[in-house]
Amino acid sequence: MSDISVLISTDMSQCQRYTVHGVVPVRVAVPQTSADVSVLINYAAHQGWRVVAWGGGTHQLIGAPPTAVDLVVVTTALNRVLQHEPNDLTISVEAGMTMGALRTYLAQHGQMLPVDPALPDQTTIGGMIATATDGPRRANYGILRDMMIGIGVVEVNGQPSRAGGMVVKNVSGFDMMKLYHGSFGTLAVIVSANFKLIPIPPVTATVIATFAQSDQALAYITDVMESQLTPVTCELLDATLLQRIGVTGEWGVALAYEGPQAAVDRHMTELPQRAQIHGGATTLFYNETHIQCWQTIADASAVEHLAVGELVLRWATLPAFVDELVQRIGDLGQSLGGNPQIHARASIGVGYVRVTGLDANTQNQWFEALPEAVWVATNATNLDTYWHAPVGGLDVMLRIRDEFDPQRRFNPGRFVV
Amino acid sequence: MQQLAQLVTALRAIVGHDGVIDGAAALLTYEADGCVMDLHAPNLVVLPRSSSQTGAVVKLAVAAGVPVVARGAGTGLSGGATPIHGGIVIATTRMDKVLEVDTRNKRALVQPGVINWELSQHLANYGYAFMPDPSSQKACTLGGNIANNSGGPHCLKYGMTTNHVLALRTVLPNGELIWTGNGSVDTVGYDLAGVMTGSEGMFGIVTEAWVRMTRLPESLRVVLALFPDIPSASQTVSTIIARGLLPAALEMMDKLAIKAVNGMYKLGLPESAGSALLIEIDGVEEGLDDLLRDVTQICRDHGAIEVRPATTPAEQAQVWAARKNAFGAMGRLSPSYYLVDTVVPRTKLPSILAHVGDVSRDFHLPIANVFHAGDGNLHPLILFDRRDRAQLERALGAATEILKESVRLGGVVSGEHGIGVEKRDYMDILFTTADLAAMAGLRRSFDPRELFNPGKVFPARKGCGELAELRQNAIAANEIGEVPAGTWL
Repeated sequence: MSDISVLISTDMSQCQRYTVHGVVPVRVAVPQTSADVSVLINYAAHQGWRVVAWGGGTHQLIGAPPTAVDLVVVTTALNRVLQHEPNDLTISVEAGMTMGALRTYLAQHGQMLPVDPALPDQTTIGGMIATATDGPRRANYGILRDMMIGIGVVEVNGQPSRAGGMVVKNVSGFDMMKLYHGSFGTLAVIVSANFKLIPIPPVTATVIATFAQSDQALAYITDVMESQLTPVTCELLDATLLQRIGVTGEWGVALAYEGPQAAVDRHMTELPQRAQIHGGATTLFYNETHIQCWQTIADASAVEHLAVGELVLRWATLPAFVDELVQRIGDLGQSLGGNPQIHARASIGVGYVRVTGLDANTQNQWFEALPEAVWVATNATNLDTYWHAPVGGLDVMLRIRDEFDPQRRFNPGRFVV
Repeated sequence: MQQLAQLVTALRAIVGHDGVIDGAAALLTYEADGCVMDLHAPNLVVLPRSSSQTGAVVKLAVAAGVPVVARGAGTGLSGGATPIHGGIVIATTRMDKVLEVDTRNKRALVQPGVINWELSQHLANYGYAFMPDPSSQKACTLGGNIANNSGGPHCLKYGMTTNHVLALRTVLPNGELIWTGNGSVDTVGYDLAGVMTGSEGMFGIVTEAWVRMTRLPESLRVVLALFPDIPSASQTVSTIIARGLLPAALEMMDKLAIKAVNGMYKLGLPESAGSALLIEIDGVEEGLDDLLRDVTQICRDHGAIEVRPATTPAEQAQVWAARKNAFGAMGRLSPSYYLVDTVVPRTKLPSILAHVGDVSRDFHLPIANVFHAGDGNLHPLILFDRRDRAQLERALGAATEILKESVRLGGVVSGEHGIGVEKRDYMDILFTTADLAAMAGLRRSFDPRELFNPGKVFPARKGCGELAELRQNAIAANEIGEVPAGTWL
């Protein structure tokens, strides 16, 4: 455990580096261990400080600006593998480890945690949990919510607590992992997490199908999802993103498959055949181009740095409504401007839209026109609102917040509760 | 008494005369679920037909300060549906409809009283399934599956109930009726559906649910591999998992279990076999035979005596029926059994199974093993005669020993049956006070008055009935105290 004074810096350049959505913190601390986090948070509690946890800083523009920040707790020194049992396919890691570092580590053992976020070399595990980060392979494997088997947190008074365990099946106690996942740092500071892993599949490959119209692309996706094929990704790409992966076309569908060679071959044969029925042309990617293509698609949802007037919305709807939503986004581009870029994990009804060059008023209009938005990321600090109301249960969410952070010192003002 | 009579009148105004059960004899049916160690009849049972009726019932109950316990089919094994403090049991029996099958969005809208098996049979018409498949699936309800975050053999590949719940319509403990989402995969705010799943009826009563439908696989292969002993089979499991062959299910039976199912299902398994593995792999047809060859080879490398493919659907169904009904087959071996649910890291299977063998010897009770080996999820069945007090006490002592060893090996105290009353006093050998306090904080957020399923999950150290006392003493001193008469099903 380190001395508090050694951990905390009030150096102006350091504080500016950790500006939280326009708010420069009063001080920054870089704890070296989870015990340090506990001491720091306890100290902050005594001081009444408002606290923001900071992993890779890749998601800090999501949601509303904080009302005040007295302390930023940077978790990047908590970057160790705490326990890895290769033959159990389970791992426990500290929250400040980046997804890229974890990926590299696991690859040595032929294993993976099948989530592929934007900017993996900066994005930390803790940040991914806090913000419910997804990636293209969510279509098959889900997100960290679905793989997390245990969690360690430091609560608002500095008290460490844990839930779950290091087994792949567990109903011993409530599922606190689900509580902290997607809670945007409002309930506790995440210091470690345990996951179940899967082996890296022997062969991977990608089909990119291009279409003139978005409805053709979506009809193709429906066809594939109702077939017996089991692609691990299913992304609808617009012309901009297609171009970025080196393919020309108006609309694209990117499908990856991972598995034994024979099953990959089946997919690489049948997916193009089905595309042809819907008027699509296909390109196949293997090896390096496959990897590059998917990192490019994953990075399309990055919100670390946004230009003035740039807005990124993550939306969720039912797969059947993606078609209408894509049309609506196109129409909004006509009426509101912003040159919308769109990509969607269409088979599961989740996607992103990025608009640029907008004043605050038009950003408000974009947000209001998309009630499907589950979050918004922007530099703007004067939007009318940054969250749509939850479908239900706002009162119980407020009571949860009251129970875990009664003084609203964790990420004050940033989340929907 | 007068207050109760008024409550009955008010409840009947909501759910009709026959929707309230208040006769002493009829209430006895509801005094326990599948865990009948601690019996307690409710004051009333109410059978609402809809979400709004359920909400109105809850409002009346909480206004009167009466505990509320939700109940599905009563197949739970941890006492989750036992009204240990009395009050009103809300049984979901009359909410048993599949309201919508939405293949386009791969989701189904169900009421909580729908039986797991019936849902999957219904969805099979469309080429889909609801993947969680507890062994009790022919009787257990979706509401119970959600409350317990139930598992089953196919959870190895497809995940637990929580991975198949999209949104819940729930009556909260203040009577408020909410939807946690609209069925899309993301919602704004905290993940209420996520925390409610597995909350054992303490956060709300589910009255409707959007659940995920999974496309039935194109093809599957099932093999039954026989081994001379338990270590060879458990090493096989470890190797299959470590090699990453990702079976859909990987189930194990030991010698005693083989004997029981052999008699009942005429499988003709050699009784010299010390253990059997049931392995299922699925996916597109291409590549499955290669995978099957790898699996078979691993079995042979670890000393399998025989590897039998179940090739026809009829053979596959027979093998699965033997596995899923193995608990029932135990009746051939013993008048009663205590089914213990525990989990260890998968590499610890050989150690824990050796320990179970030692416990069987030390406590002089036969223990059969039928379990989800691929998940490390054990189900030792301690065979005994409940009429013999000494055997009953030894059975409880044996269970405690096994659970403690599981935790010592890095495991936990329940993989899929829940904590309920049965395991609540094991919670603090697994969790610290702070860990439990965080869970208690979450529970208080939903139910500050602790009226929903009181007395469950959290350790009850003082005066919470004979069972709790017995359990406390057993944990503290490795000894068994008194329990009321009963049996384990």
